[in-house]
Amino acid sequence: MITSLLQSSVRLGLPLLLAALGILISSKSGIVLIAMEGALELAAFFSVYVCYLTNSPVLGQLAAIAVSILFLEIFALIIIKGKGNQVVSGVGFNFFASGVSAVLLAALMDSKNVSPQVPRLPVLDLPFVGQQSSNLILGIFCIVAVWFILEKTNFGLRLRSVGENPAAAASLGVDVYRYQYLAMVLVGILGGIAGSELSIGQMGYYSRSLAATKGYMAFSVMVLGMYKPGWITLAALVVGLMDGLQMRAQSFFNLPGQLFLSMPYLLTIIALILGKNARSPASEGKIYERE
Amino acid sequence: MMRLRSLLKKLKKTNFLGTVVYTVCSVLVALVIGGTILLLLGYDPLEAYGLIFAKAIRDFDQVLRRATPLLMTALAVAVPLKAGMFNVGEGQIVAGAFVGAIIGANLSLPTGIHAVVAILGAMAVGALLGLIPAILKLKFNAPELVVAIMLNTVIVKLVEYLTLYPFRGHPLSPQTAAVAETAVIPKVLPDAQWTGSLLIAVASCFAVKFLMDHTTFGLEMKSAGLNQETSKFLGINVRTMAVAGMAIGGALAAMGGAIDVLGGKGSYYVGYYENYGFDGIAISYMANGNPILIIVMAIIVAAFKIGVLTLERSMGVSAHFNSALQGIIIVMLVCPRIFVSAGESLKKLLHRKAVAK
Repeated sequence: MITSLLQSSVRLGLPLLLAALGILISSKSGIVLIAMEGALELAAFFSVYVCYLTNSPVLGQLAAIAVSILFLEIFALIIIKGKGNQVVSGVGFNFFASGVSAVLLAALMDSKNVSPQVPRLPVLDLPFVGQQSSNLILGIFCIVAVWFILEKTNFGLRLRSVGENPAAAASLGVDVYRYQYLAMVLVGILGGIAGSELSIGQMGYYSRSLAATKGYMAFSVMVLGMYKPGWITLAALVVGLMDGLQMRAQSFFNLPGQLFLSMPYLLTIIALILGKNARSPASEGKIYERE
Repeated sequence: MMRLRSLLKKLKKTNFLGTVVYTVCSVLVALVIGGTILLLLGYDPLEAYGLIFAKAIRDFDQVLRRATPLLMTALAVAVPLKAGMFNVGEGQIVAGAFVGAIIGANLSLPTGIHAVVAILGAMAVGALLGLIPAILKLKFNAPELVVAIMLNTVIVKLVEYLTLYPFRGHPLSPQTAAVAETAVIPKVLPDAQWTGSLLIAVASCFAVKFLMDHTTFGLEMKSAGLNQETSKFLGINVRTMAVAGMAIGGALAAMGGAIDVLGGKGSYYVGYYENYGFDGIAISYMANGNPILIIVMAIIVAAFKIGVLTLERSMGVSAHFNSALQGIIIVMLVCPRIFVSAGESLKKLLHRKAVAK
């Protein structure tokens, strides 16, 4: 009982955690990343497609990372050059990703809704959390790595200064845009792993709209985690636990699933309220104008 | 480059014409990128666009019917945007369609009044749903888009439950009971697919235009969205305006759902309004928030929505191709300076080539 709860908690929690860590790095560099949803969708699709072509889940995951980096770099390019509203541009990128994945699914794998089954990433049988994909290990490494990069390296310090006060950072010789593009590489790696975890990590296939607003949920997870990697981990697990609980509750109360399915979403709305005191980087959402 | 920049400024000044020219450019960019993707995947893009166009012309009647709820979800984005808020009508149109269907089926009122009551009921629910993200934004600084997307899922699931269980109207189909004769919005032309609902939606566009441009309330709302500090100085309550804008937006989206049910299928079907709220975002940006242009843009988007269905049937291109195009159009419209930047890079490149020679 406890194991199965923990298992489903980690199942939903892990992709949310990875995506939220990505959104965190982006926020610290001053970019509001609504486009994570689109990165997850494309990564989920491409990991399955490459796996379908090569039969290698590892290549699938690498492809997911590459596509996710490419997608987010284009996003960064457009908002840095175009200086438009980052939230709405992000929505546009998400539309594009969701449309393109459906077109690709039909064109490349001849399917309207669900792709053929492909080999999955290695499955680990662990104590307490049951069967999990190998990405769990990668995820734990990412928590530490993101914390270390942001808090303990010069790169992280400069990156945070870009998100807090880009003009001051620039006056000290930091190339603001270069740091934002570099940040997006890290974000892309995290988004790629998160997206491939959704498809070849947990399912072994891609179905249309697999990301299913997890990119937006991850945003709430980051706010609930008060912009700190450790708390974000806890927040992701709590939202994941809610998903595990709703599955339990469905069978326990014998009530229709629709009522319980919305529980994680309600929780993420509450998360945004609870996280109200978390201070976001001062220049988040505004692109620096070079003099 | 100065010329392009001053041109862009001029374009912004001549709002109406500028919006049209600028939107046409963005749509062309989207069609080119979309066409390239189709070409790379082995489809013939010209054939595809030709099919969409032919279908839209042939079934223009159907396009007009499809445009009806889209007009409303576009207004639902445009009004709050004037007050500086971002609304998504996705959950609101579902809630509105459901509430409209339930009131239409379960009350007995005289003809005409019944429909009005159903629409007003839907609008009240929509306004409440619009208030939630607005209040969370102002009280807790929660990003309204994320709240709206999460709330959409909750609303869609809840309405699905209500339609499948307590209010199920048909044992074999996931729908509510058919609305009473007294609540039906009649057809204007007997053979047309579109109904009086289209006229109501078009009238709403003009009403919103009047509200925003010719009333103190509308001008204060626009002022609050444009410049908060100045507006505060002028004694405008910026927060009230933001909340009011979101409530009006929610009410308009819900009204769209209600009039579409009462003038169309006559009951609410689970999943029927998927993506209508998101289409509204694209239309609103294509029209630059201008209610009159929304009428034109809604018809164009509806034509695409109808057209891509043929594309799926005859060429195997997914109908979701439409979302990809909309995404590109939105990005182009939100980041106008991307055109200037692209022009600058091109000029640099040409200059370098000239120097190299």
